[in-house]
Amino acid sequence: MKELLKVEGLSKCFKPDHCKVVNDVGFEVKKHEIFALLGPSGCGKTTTLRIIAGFEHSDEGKVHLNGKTLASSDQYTSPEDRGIGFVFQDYALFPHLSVFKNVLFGMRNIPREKRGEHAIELICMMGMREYMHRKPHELSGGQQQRVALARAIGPMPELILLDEPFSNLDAVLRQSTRDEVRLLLKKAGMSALLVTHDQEEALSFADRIAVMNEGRIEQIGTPEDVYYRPKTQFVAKFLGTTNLIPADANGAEAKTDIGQLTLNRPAQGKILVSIRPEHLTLHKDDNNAPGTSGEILSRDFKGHDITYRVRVKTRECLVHTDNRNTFQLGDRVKVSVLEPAVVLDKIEEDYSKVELLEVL
Amino acid sequence: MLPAVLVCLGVLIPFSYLLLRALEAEMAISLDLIIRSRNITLLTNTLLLAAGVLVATLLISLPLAWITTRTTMSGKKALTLLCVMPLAIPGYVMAYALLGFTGIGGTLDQLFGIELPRISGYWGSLLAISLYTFPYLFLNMRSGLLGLDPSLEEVSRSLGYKPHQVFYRVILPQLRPALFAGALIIGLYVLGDFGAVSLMRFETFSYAIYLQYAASYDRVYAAWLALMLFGITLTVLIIEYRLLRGLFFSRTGSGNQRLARPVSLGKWKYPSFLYIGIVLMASIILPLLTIFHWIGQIQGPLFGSGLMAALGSSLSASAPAALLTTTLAVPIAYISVRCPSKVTQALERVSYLGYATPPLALALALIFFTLSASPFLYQTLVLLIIAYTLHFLAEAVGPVRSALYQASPRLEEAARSLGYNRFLAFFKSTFPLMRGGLIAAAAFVFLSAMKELPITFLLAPIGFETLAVNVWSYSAEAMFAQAAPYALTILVFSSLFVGLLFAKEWKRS
Repeated sequence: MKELLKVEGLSKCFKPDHCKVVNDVGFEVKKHEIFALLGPSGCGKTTTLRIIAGFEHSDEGKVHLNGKTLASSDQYTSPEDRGIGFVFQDYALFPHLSVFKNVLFGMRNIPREKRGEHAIELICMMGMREYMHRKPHELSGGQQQRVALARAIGPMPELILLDEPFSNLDAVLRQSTRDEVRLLLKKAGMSALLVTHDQEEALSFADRIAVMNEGRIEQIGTPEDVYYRPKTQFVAKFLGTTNLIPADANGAEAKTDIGQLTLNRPAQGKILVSIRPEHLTLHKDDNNAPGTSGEILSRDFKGHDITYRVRVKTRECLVHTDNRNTFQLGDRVKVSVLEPAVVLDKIEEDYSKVELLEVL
Repeated sequence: MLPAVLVCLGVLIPFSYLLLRALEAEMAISLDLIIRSRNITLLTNTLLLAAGVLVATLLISLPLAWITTRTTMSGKKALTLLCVMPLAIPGYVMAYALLGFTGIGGTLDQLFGIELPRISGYWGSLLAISLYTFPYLFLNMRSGLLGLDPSLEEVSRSLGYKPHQVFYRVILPQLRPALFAGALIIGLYVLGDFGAVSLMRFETFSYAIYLQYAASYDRVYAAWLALMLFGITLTVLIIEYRLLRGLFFSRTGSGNQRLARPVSLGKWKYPSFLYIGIVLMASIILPLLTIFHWIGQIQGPLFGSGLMAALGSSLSASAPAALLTTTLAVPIAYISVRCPSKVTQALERVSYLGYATPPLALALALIFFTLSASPFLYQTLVLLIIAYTLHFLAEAVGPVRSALYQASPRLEEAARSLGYNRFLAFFKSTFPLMRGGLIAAAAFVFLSAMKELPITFLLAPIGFETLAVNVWSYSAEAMFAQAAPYALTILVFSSLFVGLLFAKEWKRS
C-alpha cells in the first residue's frame, strides 16, 4: 500500500523555555489505513493532530500529504487548503445550523445540484434520517458524534483526523459506534488518524498504532506487535496488565526468579523482560509438573477466565488462566511460561528496584 | 489587523494634538497649572462620582438582568425593552427632570406638596448619570447570563452548594467579563460627561475642561486637564486589563448550548415588582413627564418644519456611525480574543482612549488635523461620522468581545478543516452566534450618537442641526417648551430603533 500522510521530525513547544510538548515525532499513514496515536493525556498526541490539521504551527519538522509538503520550516498550507477532515472531541457542531445544513456545510467541492442528495445519503447512512432537520442541541451525544463524522466525510477527504471521538459516548454506544465508523471509513476508502488514550479502543479500531509518551513516539506497529512485542517498559505497561521481570540474559535464554526463560530476541547481561499474564499458566504442585513453585495470594474470577496473584520466591506475578482448573488461596502451584519473554529496550531506573508485579 | 491599526492611529491623533497644545506653554507655567489644589478637588470629585455611579448602576442592573433572564416572571421581553429605554434619554434632560422634580416649587411640591431638598451637586449628578447609564451594564450582564453554561450551576448544586452560594461562587465569577465591559463603558462615560454634571453644578475634570474651552479660552490649561483625564483613563484601562487577564470563558463542556431552567420568584414577586416600578418610574416616567409638562406649555404648532430637518440630520449621522463602528469593532475584538498577545491587547486598549478623550478635545483635535492634512473633509458629514466612530468605538467593542468569548474557537477550526478560509470560516460559524452582541453594539452607538452634543456642535456641517443640538440650545436659553418636541422625537426614534433590533433577536429565539 502507498503512503498517504508522512510526518517527519515534528517538534513543538508552547513557551520558549518550556519542555517540548511534541518531540521529534515521525510516522506514516498508508492509503486506506486506520492509524492510532495512543498515549496518556498530556503526551502531545492532540497537539500532533492539530499540527497535521494546520491549527498549530510546529517549530520543526515536516508534514506531507500525497507527496505534497503541507508544512515545513519555510512552508505552510492553511487548514482549509489541506483537504483533511477533522472530527473534534466535543464535535463542534454549528449550533445555529440543522443537521442537514451542518453536513452540507463542507461540501463546497461537490457540484451544487448534487450536494443535497449527497448529504441526505450520508445522513441516512448514519441512521439519522428522521433527525435531519433538528438542531444540534436536540440530539444525544451519540447522534452528535455521527453528525460530526458525516460533516467531516462530506467533502470526501482522503484523510480524516479524529480527536478522541468516542470518549463522550457511553460504553455500549462506544463499541457499536466504533464498529460502524470503522466499517464506514473502510467502505469509503478513507484513511483515518485517530487520537486516543484508551488502549482497548486503539487495539480494536486501528490497523497500526503509534504509542506516545512525553512527546515522543516509543513504538509503532500493528496492534499485535505493540501488545505482544512491546519495545519499552512504558509500552508494555500502557497497553495492558503485564509482569515486568528483571532477568540475566545470555543469548536466546535468560535466568529469572520464575525460572529459565526463552527470549523473543537475543540479549546479553542484566535486562528487563515483559510477560503478559495470559502467557503464564499454573499447574498443581507435584514433582512432575514443569515450572517454578509458588503460592496463590489472591484470585479474581471474571467468568471466562481467572486472574491469580502468585508469590514466586520473593516476587509476585499475575497469571490469567482459563477456569478449568481452579485453585484456592494458599494453594501451592507451579508457574510455567507459554511464550517467549519480551526483551524491553530501555531500563529507565535501576532495574533491581522494579517490582516484579506491575499492575495498571 | 489593518482596521485595528487604522482606528488606533485615528484615536492617537487627538492625543498628540493635546500633547502639542500642552507643551506650547513654558515649563514654569505648565508646572504651575499642574500643581494646583483645584486639580486635587477635581480629581477626587471625578473619582468619587465614577465610583458612586458604578455601585449604583450595579445595584440597579444586576437584579434586573437576573429577573429578565432567569425567572418565570411574565412580561420579561417588555421589561427588557423598558430597561434599555433610559439610554434614549439625553443626560441633560434627565438632569433637568430631577432638578425640576424636587425642591421648593418643584413638580413634587406643586402636585403633592412634598418639599424634598433640591437634588444637585454630587448626589444629583450620581443619580442622574446612574439612571440613564445603567442599561449599559444591564445589557452586558444580560447577555453574560444568557451565555452561561447551566451545567456548571448544576454541577455546583450536585457538589452541595446552595443556590445563593452558586450565585456568588459560580455565576458572578463567570459574569466578570460582562461586568468589566459594562463597568468600563460607564466609568469612561462618567469621566467624559459634561451635560449632567454642568447642570448639577458638580465640578469634574470634563466640566472644567468645558469651561476652559468654552468660556475662558485657556487652551493650555484645558489641554493639561485633558491630559490628566487621559491619565485617569489609562489607569482604568490598565486595571481592567489586569482583571481580565487569564480569563477564558468559552464553554469547555461537550454538546451544545442549553438554556437554564427559569426559577419562580415566589415570595419575592411583589418586592421585585416594587423594585422594578421604582427604577422605571425614576428613569423613564419622570423625564417623560417633564417633557410632556413642557409640551403642555407650547403655544402654536407642535411640530415645526425645523423638527423634520433635525430628525433627518440626526438619522443621517447616527445610523452610518452605528454601522461603521460595529464593523470596526469586530476585527478589534476578534484579534484581542483569538490571538491574545501584548500587541493585540494594547490595540484593543487604545480603542478605548477614543471614548475616554473628552469629546470637546477630540472634536477640536480633528478640526486641527483635517484643516492641516485634508481641508476638503472639514465641516462634512463624513468627518462627523468618523468622529462619532472614533469616540463610540469602545461602546461597540465591549459587547462584541463578550459575545466572542462565548463562541468556541473549535467551530472556526471545524469550518476551516472543511475548506473555508479564515474569513469565510469566521462569517459562517462564529458570526451568526455573535448576533446578540452585534445588535447590542449597534444599538449602543446609535443611541449615543443620537444624544451626542459637543462633537456635533464643533464638527457638523454648517446648518446641520441635529435633534440633540436643538434640545440643548433651547433648554440652555430656558425655552423648555420649544426644546420639548425635539427631546420627545429623540426618545421616540431611539425607542423604535431599540425595539426593532430586539424584536429581531426575539423572533429568532
